[in-house]
Amino acid sequence: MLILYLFFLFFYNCSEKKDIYLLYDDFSDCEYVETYKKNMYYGMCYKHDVILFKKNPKKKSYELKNIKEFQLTPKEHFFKIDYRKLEDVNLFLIIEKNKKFKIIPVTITEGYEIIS
Amino acid sequence: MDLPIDTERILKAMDSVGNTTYAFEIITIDTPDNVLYNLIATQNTDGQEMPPFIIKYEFENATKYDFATPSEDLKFQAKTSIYSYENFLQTETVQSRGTTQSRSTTTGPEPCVEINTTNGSGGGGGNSDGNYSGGKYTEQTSSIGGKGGDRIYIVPIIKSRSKSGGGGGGKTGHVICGELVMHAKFNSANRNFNTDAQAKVSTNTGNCPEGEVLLSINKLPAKIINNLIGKANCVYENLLESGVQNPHNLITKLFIEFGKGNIGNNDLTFKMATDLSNSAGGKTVLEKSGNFEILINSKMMNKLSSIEVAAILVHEIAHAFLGKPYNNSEASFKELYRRYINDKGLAYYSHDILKDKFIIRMATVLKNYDDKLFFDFEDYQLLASQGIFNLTTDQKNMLNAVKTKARNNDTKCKN
Repeated sequence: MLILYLFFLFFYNCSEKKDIYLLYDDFSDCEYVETYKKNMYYGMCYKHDVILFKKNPKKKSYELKNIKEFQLTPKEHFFKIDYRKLEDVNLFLIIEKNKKFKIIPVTITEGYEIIS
Repeated sequence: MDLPIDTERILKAMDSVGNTTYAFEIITIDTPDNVLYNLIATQNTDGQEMPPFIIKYEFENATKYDFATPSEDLKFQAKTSIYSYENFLQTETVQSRGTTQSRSTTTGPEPCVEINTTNGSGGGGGNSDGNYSGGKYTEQTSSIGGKGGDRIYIVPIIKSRSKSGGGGGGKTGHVICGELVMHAKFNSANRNFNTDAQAKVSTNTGNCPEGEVLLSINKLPAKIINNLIGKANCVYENLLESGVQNPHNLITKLFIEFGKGNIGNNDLTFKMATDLSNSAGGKTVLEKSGNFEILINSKMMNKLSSIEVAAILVHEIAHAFLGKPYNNSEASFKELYRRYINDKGLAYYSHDILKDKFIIRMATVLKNYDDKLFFDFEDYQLLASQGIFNLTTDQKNMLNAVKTKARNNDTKCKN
C-alpha cells in the first residue's frame, strides 16, 4: 500500500505541469505584428520570433504587491524552448501597473517567425 | 451587389432524411484568420428551397485554414452567426474588385442567429463573451441542426462518400458530398437530446431562414492561397503566366514546393498588409505550424511600377522557397547548416543565401516577367538585389535610374 502511495506521489509530482512566469512587455521589440492581432492578443517578440497569447479561461487572474516568490523566465530563455513543449507548461504573464503586479494565466494562440 | 464566392468547390451536406445544404466559401480579404464566411443554400427533402443565407464562423483556437483540409476527427469551437442574404448584402462593405472586407461584430447587419460553442471567455481583448441575452434577442437553446450541439461539433465534411454532380444552386462547380454530424447531449430528465450552447435569435424573422439547416464549413483546400488584390494580384497573375512559359523559373519551382501533397503539407498564403512599415515592401512569415504567409505592403502599391512589385513578390517567394525545406529538414541538417553559417561568418541565413545563390534566379524571373523593359540583364539583377545586401552609392544611383525607367515605361498592371 505504502509503495503504491509513494509511486502515486512520485508519478503525480513528475506529471505536474511546470509553471513559467514571464514579465510582459506588450509587443516591444516586435519586428512586425498585424494590428488586429495586437488588439486581440497579448504578444511578445524576441529577435525574429513572435508568440501571441490569450487569457486562459480556465484559470483566474489575480493581483500581487510583489513578485519575489516567482522565478521569472527571461524572454531570451523562453523563446529558446521548443515550441511544441510549451503545450506542457502553465504560462503566466506578469503585468506591472501602478506598483502592483497582475498575474494572468495564458495559453499560446500562435507563434511565428519573420524570415525577411 | 454580388458576393464574391468560390463556385469551383461547393460543399454538399445531406441529413438523414434527405434535406440538402450547399455551402459556398465567400472570398474575403483583411478578415482575421479565424473568421470565415459561407453562403448557404438549402433544399428540403420535399424539394422546397429555403432563402439563401450567410454563416459567419469565428473559430476559437483555430484558423479558417485548418478547415481547408480537415480530418475526420476535426472539431471546432466557434461563434457561429447566421445572416439573411438580403441583410448581409445591404450592409456589407464590398470593394471594387468584389471582395468582402472585415467587419466588426458591433457593426454591419444583425444576425438572425448567433450560437457560441466556445468556452465563453474573453482573452486579451477577445470578443467572445458568451452572453447573448437582452436587447431584441431572446436567449434559447440552439435552433439549428437537427440534433443540437454539445459545444463541440464533429464535422467530417471532406470524408466524401461519393462525388455528386449535384446542382449546387445552379452553379457548375465541383460538389463534394458529406454529412454533418453534430454531437448531441442526452438529457436524462426529459430523455431528449439537447444542447447547452447559448444562442440568440432575432425576434423579427424577416428574411431569416426558417427550419433546420446543417452547418457545413467550406474552405478551399488550396495549398497556395492568393488573397492579393489590385496591382499586386495583377503582378502575381503575370508572374504565374511567365512561370508557365518558363518551366524552370523560381515561380514554377515554388508551386512544386508548395503543391498539393508537398513535404510537410505546408500552405503558402499571399495577402495584403496595411500595417507594414513604409520602408518594407513585403514580409515572409513562417508560422510554427510550418505554413508560410507572404504579406505585401498595400500602402506602396500606388507608387511602384509593376516590375518593382514583381521584385518584392519574387524576393518574398525566394524566402519561402528557401525557408520551407530548411524548416522541414531534420535536426542534424539544421545543426550542420548553422555551423556552415557560422563558419562563413554570415549574419542571417536568408538574405546571405539569397545573395550567394538566388540573385540570378530572381533576376531571371523578373526578365521573364517583362523582357522588353531593360536591355541589360544587370538591370534586372539590380532590381532583384534590393533589400538583400547593401548597395554601393553607384549601385543605388543605378537602381534609381532603373526604377525611374520602369515607372515611365510600365505597360503591365497600371493600377
